[in-house]
Amino acid sequence: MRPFPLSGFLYEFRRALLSVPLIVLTVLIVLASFGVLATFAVNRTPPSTFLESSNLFYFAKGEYHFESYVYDTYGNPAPGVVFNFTVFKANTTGGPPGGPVANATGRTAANGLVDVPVALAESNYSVQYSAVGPNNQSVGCGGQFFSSATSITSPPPGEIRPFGCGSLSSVLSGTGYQASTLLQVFFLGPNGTAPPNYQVYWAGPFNISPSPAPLPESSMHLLGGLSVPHQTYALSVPSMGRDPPVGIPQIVQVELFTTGGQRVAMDANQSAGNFVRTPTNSEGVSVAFVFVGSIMAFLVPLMAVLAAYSVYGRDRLTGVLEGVLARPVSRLGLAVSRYLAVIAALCLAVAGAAAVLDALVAWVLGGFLPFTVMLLLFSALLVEIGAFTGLVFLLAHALRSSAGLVATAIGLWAFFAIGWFVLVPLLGVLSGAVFSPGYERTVVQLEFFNPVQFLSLVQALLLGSVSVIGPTTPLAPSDYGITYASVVGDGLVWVLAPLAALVHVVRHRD
Amino acid sequence: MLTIRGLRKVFRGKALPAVTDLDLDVRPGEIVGLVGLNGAGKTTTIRAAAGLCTPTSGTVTVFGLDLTRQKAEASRHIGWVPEVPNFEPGSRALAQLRYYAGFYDLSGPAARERCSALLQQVGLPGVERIRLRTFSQGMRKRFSLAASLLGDPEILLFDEILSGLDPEGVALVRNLMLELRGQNRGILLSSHILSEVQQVADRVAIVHQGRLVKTLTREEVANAGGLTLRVTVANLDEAGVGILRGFGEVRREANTVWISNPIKESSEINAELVRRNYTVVALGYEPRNLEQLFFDAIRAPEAAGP
Repeated sequence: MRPFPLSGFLYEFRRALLSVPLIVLTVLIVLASFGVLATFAVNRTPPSTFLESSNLFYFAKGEYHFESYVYDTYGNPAPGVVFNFTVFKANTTGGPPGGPVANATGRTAANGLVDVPVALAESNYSVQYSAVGPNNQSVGCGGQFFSSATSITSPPPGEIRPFGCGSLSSVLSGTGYQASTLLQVFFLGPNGTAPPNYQVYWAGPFNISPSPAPLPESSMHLLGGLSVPHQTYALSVPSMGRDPPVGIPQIVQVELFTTGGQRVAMDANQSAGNFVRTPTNSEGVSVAFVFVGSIMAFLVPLMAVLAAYSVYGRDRLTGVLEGVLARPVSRLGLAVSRYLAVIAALCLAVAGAAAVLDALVAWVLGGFLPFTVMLLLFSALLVEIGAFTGLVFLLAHALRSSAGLVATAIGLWAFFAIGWFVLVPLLGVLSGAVFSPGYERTVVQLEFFNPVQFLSLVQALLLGSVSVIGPTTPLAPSDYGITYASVVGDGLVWVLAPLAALVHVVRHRD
Repeated sequence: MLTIRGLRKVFRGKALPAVTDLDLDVRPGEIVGLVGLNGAGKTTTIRAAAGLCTPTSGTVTVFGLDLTRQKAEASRHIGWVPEVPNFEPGSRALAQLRYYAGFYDLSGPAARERCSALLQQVGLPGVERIRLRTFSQGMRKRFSLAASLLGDPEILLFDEILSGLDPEGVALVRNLMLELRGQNRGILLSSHILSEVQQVADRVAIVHQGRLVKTLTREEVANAGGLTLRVTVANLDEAGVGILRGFGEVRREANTVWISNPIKESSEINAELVRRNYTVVALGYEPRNLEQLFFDAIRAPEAAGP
């Protein structure tokens, strides 16, 4: 004889999981989670004033051409940016450059492009240049301001080369969400023509040292073709886990090939971290507590109340349970199997909702929520689930009508989830103690006595501070008695006390 | 065998016990009727025998297994049909039966086959996919009967199983009970329909005010089909009743006495009363049945007084 009715457990698990209230509330939580999209959407107005540029040059027909593309952080072209070039004769001995041999000026067009031709004989030079936006904005390059002299070594006629701190590729912020990034490639075909459908490949991440060597196409990933001077690509470097990568800086390598497989250019200057989509810890904790804390902590106890009522309370009070108890099963076995079935179903529903939230966060912020944060939050919700499930099971043995049970159970949830937050401040106001240090301490410590607020205790531990309203400076959680030991103990009491009482009642009463 | 010894059940908040000092056996291959007025303790007795309510004192054992301490093992030998069956309203018939079947280690195709066969046996073919909330009272009874037979139990507890059934259902259940008895199963049948109990029961336990007041033997039940002589005497006194006792077992109500299975003809009894100066107002035979035995039994303690 099996002590635990496994088939009954599975049946009740399925029944709890498919109960209408559980489905409705889970869907509600999932829908609420979509609020993440609004919270982390990038606000594009006003646009960033910071401008960046990518720079190329080539020699053709007795002229050097300095081609630049200026854009904002979203990749929008920046017209009206004035470039000033001063070309010096290069000092081949490595000393300072000689006197200036040419000056030239250009202004970016509506498409953000500028071509500044300088008539010079083919040779090696140093170039000093500056760029100023129409509203005197600084123009950076890869995040650096520049106006220093840059040596240029004359390439074969018609061949395109980067210059300055500009490189083949650059990083743009995605226009959708805060953490999304795009790779922008700016390059030209021979003699400044449109790129003849170069193939853009990437590989990585690699350690920044030693300097990466050129790679064949076969060992890289194709990003797409390049038929216009500048093009953006969605580049996603595999996450190195839920926690942000640390240690040796890593880069991604970008190369351009002709359709015939001949390498045209290579760039290994972009940090891989730009493309590893991982939310910061603060973002993760913020999402976790805003959405999990405020929505799940509020609704999960109600889910527990309704699921426990559906699976046990109603059956017990309408006589349905007796039809099961007449089977080869002990009273305790039946009660515990149903209790565990409800807990398991709720855990799965909450995990499903959390998975949707995590997937949304990964989509929006570029990476999953910190694992430890999710684990602690799930544990906190498990305490709520255990406490309310146990209480409803227990009430089913104390009350005599299903209507009375559902009213009492929902009333219990309403008291802890809503009434508590009205009653406690009200008592503070009535007693005249509100905002006093003693009142704050009492309010915080009362969280130990409310299962809905158990998550607040966990939050205090995770964030290392307690948020209180009042004139005093927030103290560390331990100053309020919130320690790992006290929180774990409180959670165990909330789960085990109703369960122990239930076991006692089931064993000693009809 | 189901053995009830010294069963006493006092519900919380109630001063009087629902059942007290009740001893009863149900052996394999017999049908024991359990009859009594409303509130007599029939349902409490059956619920205790089904392991649904814990005795305040006394024991209920099934083949030596204590239903309080070895509930799961003992329940394997018992099938129970309640007076008012309740099921998950949203569940479908087959799904609910298969859920119950899981407790008997029946699963998969074997469970499906067994459940469908039982539904067929109780006259509910083709209801497998129908939700239980749509079942009539009679269908619920039949469904509950099927559920009680899932584990092939040796002891069946039927609490008012006939109420709510149409004549066809009554006949089906009656025949099924006789068939089960033939398969050496024991049945404890609680019913208000005494004529039905009389038709099938081998023994009848009569409970009144929570006590077992009489157990009619197989012979007594079998003889319950005899005649009763009803005699109304204008000047009846204790001496007159004593005279009538000489003709058989008597029951008196005011000036009327019923003589069960009288040993003399009515004319001889009349002559004897007249000879003793009693004025006989009415004299006639009535068919004797379980109902009379029942009332005889429950009135005897009342007549005896506290």
